[in-house]
Amino acid sequence: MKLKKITAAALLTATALIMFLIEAQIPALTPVPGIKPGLSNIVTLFALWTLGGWWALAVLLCRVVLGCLLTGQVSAILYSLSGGLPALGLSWLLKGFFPSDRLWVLSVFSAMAHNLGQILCAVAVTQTPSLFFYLPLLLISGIISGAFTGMAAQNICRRL
Amino acid sequence: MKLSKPLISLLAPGILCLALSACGESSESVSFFAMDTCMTVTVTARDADEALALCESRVNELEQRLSVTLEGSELARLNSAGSGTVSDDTARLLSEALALCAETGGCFDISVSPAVAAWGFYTDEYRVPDESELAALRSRIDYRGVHIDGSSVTLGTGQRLDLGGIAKGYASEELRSLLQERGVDSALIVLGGSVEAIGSKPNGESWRIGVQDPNSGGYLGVYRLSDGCMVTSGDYQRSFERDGIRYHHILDPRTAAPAKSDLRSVTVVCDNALRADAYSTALFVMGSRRALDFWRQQGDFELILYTADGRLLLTEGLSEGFSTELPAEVISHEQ
Amino acid sequence: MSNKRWALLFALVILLCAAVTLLLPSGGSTVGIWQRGELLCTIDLAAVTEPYTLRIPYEGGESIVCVEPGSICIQSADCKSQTCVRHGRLRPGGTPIVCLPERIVIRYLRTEGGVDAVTG
Repeated sequence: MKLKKITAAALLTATALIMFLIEAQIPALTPVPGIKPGLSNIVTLFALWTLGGWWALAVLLCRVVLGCLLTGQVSAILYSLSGGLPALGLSWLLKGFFPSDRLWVLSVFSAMAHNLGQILCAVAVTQTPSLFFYLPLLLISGIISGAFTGMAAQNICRRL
Repeated sequence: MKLSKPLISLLAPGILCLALSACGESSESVSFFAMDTCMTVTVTARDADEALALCESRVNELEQRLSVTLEGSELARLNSAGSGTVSDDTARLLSEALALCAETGGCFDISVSPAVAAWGFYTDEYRVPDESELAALRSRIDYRGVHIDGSSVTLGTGQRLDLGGIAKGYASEELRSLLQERGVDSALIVLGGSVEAIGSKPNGESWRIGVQDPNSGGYLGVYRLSDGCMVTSGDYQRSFERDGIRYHHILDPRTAAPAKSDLRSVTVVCDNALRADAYSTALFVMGSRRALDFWRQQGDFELILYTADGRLLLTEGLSEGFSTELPAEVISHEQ
Repeated sequence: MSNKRWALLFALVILLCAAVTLLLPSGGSTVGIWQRGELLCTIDLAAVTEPYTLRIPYEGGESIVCVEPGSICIQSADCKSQTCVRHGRLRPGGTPIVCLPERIVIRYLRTEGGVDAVTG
């Protein structure tokens, strides 16, 4: 039933937005840009797993656009998408290779893709290749946050 | 309850992060150009961006009002007319400035502008005035010729005022009030060589402030500053050379020429940047002996003096927070 | 692959990244060049392998900035005082290189292990 899916997607978008806004309040833990818990990714993964790739994409796009508009950072849309799209894309591709109890692994890979995408975008926009020096650090944070958010998503999927 | 477990899974990481964070404060920094120098303000606050924008516009506003070289400024108009009314803020600043002139026995003098102009420091068209010109200039320099009555100011004959010696200190204090009113308790205000700290760094440590070594690009030492300011006057900051002689920009009001001091740099550490700015200029002019006498009399500030023969002198209140690799003499209050 | 194996794999990747981060020069060598308040560019001096020059044009001339591995300076400028050229190389935690008429400022973006500001 399409209506069920639309409703679910809308609810998920709202949830992702709330997490995004909560996360926006948290100060940058390090001077390195891009290190954050990535809570909204739990929702994107969950959407991918339960509703499928296209719905997850819709949720992601809505969340990014609305979230950036609400926090007044329109320029962040490009930056968010440069991370979110590769993350979703990779998860979508690899989805079939991972059973439901390895969802957290998928999440780690998607987090790494997210970081790589964001750095590529930042380097392209600011024309400073030296930003690549941040990649190892971001990957570490990505793996850790990806693991945690992935386990959260996995837990939810298991129970529902 | 089938829903509660997933809900907790969803919210737990979020709550954890919230618990770990300070409430939405961020550390931001802005650099801009004003008062002929590069200024950098670093603020940790909820609305750091807004606070910084306000700082920048406040400094620009002060520059518009108090600059000697900007034609429409209150000070420029006062100088060209010889008298006039100024805004309350400017009147108050002038009174404070005159008090500092008196306190330092005229070694800091805001009426030194004609001499600054004669040497070419306003336009970078440097020249060396001859003795007769210097004598004429000397007769025009005396802060006691300036009279303030409410907001009406009268200058003595041929007098012109220059607040450059305290402009940065004053701006620094204005920014400090501005930020403290907004509840900011951690900030670093660097206006050229004047450094003012509100509180400590966000991580609780004091700010580490280097004192420039006049001989090299390195430091004489590093001072751990929190809630206070440091202002330095030095003979290396602005100078020009003519016929093999170097002339620096700190004029001695009594000779109308660059001060012949045994000091190369004076750093005043104190809780008020306006006083520190005035003192640093005055004490440079005074030379090490009189400067230390002055310090013994006043007592509520500390000094880092670097002499022309390479000696580093520290007043005793500083020794704890100041670390240096150079041999330093600690000066105590007793003679 | 079992959960444990995956965890081990990721832990290894983390260790590798940590090693790389520690060995590589960090952002403490990043400088920024401003003109009239606008940040023109940031350069990580530690990442420079071959020296190059940057031309910053303005009314009345241009400044030539010389970027070398680990250092940066203004090679020449069309300003009266030439204070910027005389400044020489930018030092970590030292005073910024400033070219007044055009408000060109070159300074480190973050000072690490050194000082937060300099008075003097």
